[in-house]
Amino acid sequence: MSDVRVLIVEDEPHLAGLLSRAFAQEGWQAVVARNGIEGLNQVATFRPDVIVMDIMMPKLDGIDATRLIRRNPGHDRTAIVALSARHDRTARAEMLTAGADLFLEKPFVMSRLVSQAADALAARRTPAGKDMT
Amino acid sequence: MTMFSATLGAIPAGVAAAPGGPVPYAVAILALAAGLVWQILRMRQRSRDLLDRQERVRGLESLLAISARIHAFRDSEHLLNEITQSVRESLGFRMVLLRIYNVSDKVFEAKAFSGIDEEGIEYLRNSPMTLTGFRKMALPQFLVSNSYLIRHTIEGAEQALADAYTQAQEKRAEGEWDERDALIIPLNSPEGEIRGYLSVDDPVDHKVPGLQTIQMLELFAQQAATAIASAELYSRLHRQNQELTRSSDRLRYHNELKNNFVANVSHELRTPLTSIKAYSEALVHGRERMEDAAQGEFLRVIQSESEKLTGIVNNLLDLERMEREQITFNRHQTDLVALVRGIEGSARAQAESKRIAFSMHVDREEVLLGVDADLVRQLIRHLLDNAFKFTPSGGKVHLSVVDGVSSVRIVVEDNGIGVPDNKMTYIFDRFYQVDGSSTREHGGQGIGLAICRDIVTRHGGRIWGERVQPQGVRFNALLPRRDEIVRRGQDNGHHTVFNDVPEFAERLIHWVGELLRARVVALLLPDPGGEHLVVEAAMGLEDRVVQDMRLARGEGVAGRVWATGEPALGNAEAAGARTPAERADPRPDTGTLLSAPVMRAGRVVGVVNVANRIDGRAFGVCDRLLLQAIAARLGHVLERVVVHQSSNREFGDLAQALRKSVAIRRARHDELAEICHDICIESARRMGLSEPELMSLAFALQTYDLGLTGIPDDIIHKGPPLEPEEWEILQQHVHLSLQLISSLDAPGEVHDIVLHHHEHFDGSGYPQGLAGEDIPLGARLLMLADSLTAMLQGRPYRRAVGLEQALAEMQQRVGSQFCPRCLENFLEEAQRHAERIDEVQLSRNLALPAPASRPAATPVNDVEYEDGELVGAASGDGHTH
Repeated sequence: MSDVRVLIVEDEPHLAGLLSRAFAQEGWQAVVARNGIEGLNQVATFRPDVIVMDIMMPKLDGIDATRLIRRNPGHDRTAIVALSARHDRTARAEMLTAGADLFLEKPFVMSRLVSQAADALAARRTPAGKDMT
Repeated sequence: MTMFSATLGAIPAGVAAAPGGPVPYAVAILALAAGLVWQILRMRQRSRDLLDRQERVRGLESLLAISARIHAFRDSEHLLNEITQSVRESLGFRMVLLRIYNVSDKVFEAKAFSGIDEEGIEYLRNSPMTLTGFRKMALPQFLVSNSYLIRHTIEGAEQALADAYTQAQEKRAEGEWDERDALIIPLNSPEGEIRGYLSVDDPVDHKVPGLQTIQMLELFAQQAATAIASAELYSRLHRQNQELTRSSDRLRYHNELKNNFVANVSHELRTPLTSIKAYSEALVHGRERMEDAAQGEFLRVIQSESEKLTGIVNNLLDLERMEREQITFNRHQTDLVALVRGIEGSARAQAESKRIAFSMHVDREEVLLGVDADLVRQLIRHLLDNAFKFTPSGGKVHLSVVDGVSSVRIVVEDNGIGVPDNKMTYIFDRFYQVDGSSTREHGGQGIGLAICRDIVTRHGGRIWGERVQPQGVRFNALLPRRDEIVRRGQDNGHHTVFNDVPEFAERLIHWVGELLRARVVALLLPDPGGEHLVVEAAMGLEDRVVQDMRLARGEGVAGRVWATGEPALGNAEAAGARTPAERADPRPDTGTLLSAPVMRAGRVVGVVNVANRIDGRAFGVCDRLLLQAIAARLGHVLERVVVHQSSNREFGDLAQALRKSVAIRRARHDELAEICHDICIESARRMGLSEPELMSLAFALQTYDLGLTGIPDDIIHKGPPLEPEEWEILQQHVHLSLQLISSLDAPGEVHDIVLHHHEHFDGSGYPQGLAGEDIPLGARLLMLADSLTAMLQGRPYRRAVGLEQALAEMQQRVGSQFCPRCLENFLEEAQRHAERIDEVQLSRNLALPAPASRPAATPVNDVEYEDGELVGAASGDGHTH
């Protein structure tokens, strides 16, 4: 899979750097945003296919950012992969309700992240009910 | 019964009116009449019984209604008022007082009133009835049913009511209520214990109440007693309930903190862990494809994140250890400046990495304090970490060490995001985060400041945060100076005051240290053989020195003082050290070591050494005189303490005097006061006062305002006009001072100086209105020193002024308030200190030197200084009081 655009919304610079590097190695176009607000701006301009979203972030957290993105039907085909060091059920439930496709706990397995993101994107792009035919 | 006898008397009169009539007829008539009367009387009696019964039923009904009403009251105060009100409205007495027994004080307190004017209420409130007083009233001869009807005609009534509130009035007819009568209805608990009583007066029908009325009142009292008991029970339950609610709120709060903590900590731990794991994984899988530089970069990230993780884990462990009190606490004399400099490097590095400007200020080159160095280092680190964390790039963080007389303050100030005022008190709570939301900018576990608070508390100090304008926060960690008293080992078996009352002896040592602003105080006494001086107890000296020092007669400064009985100033690193410098002139004017003989009945029985002034300056003549005066009486004081230790009162007085003199020393005797004291002593010397007189003056200067500690602050700090009664209270301070001074066993002249230091030269002062040369010279000089001190320091009601203006103002009162000869000498001495005064005032932002044309500091509201304390508008013309 190439030419996929991924937006990494993560306030921890080390991790953000590594993530963008990992996606780039697979031929994805990666862009980093350091908080929810920056993330929203990037969604509008960069129009990513996949968003990797942290939860605890300054200014606007990942849950609200996801909710706002999902409010716009234009982003229906965008996959959102949540990443969080918050492991409680509430965080997971809120994030999935807000519209994330996948919730990964930190620390996560780096080598599987890209394929998990790709799967999430594929699932998003498969029209609902197609499997039924 | 009056009607009955009147009727009977009327019939024989009628018979007598018919003389000469046939006797049997008359007898028959008489018998008939008697029978008729009897009948009538019986009927009357019956109908009266019936009426009475009806009355009684009505009374009981209304009583029932009242009882039901009062039982509805839960609040004690309202209930008690309702009880007296009910008696007044429904039971026929215009004046009702309810007293409730206070078990702990054993008195009946007046709690509720009805029909009593304010003056009476005030009186009753202020005169509780004692149990004895009550027993004097509750005598058997007054007993009616279960109450006490104290009729003025009964023997012992006057005596019984001596404590009660009564007003005698003219005699009334028999059966009429007299103002001197009293009716007391006890309120008993169901168990029969007395809980209080009702005192009723002024019956509506002006009649002495009959048994029935009294029983009615008793019934009511019984109801009232149970109502009171249940109200008390209710309020106790209510209080307990509130207490429970509060503690459950606290529990909930702590539980919440704990939950936050678990969430925070796991988040904080996972964040660096995620990076470490991701980077190491990337290295493992992709090493071959990576350049060396990239590999190095990855490893560095792993390293720095591991360090972050270690830091968090260490914090957690520290906290855990603190919580279990496992941390060993090693207090040692530590130089805080050196300690801070040790941290400086890493703090600068941390600041640079965040592009924050870091600065540091220390008061002196050395600030010694008995602390646990490791813990204090940790404290400063946490405060700095906290400041760096919440200060954005381009901000500032400032660390300072402020040396004080009784404490050292470590201050960390930043201009970062600050803390809202309403959260200032919570930030030291464990696991508390000002911003606990998921959008917060800053991580953390809410541990750092909690650790800081633990450390400071362990040192007996306190920590607080304050908002800085326009932005940021300042943390102050106050570490008290509590120099340990080191005592000589008890190997040699000699017995001194320190064996008997160690706590008190320690206090004396602290007291001497505080008065002389000395870090080191040592009391040296001869050993049992009388050959050597040994240190009995000392403050600020190492244990080794205390145990090892032995001075022969004439050896070292102390040995020489022991031999000669003369005080001495010397130079030494520490008291008792034998350096060549000590062999200097026996009477230099200044020195870092000061030594004075402890006298007992004219003999030298020991030596007191003080050394190392807190401000680093040398001791002067004033200090020498003061120590000499104290030491000269010390032998006597110590003995008195031992002899009278069983007499707690005297002991307590002395302890109180010591405590107060330390308090006043801290509150008022700053460097400016000291300069004024110096000026005063020097002028006294110029005017020919002898050494003993100078000693007394030095003692008086230290203690004359002790009494101010007994005057309410709002009077001391209030500007004029003072109310006459306030003025009276303020004048009391002289007597309070004298009381305290006599507890300190000061020389007699001190008493005179202090007593008369508010006497004016023209005789318009107080307390005795002495004038001119009748006022002791020391007192006249003390007044000058006191006035100047107040003007230079400023008071809450008046700004500080510079020396020039102060002296000019004093000159205006020469001859009226001040003695001309004293003022002349005082002014000359004062001029010699002008520079130092300016310096101190400038450094404290007090008065700026006044420009020649216009005085900089204009008196506020025409307040004038006089005698150091205000007078002015209080007494109209400002000079007569």
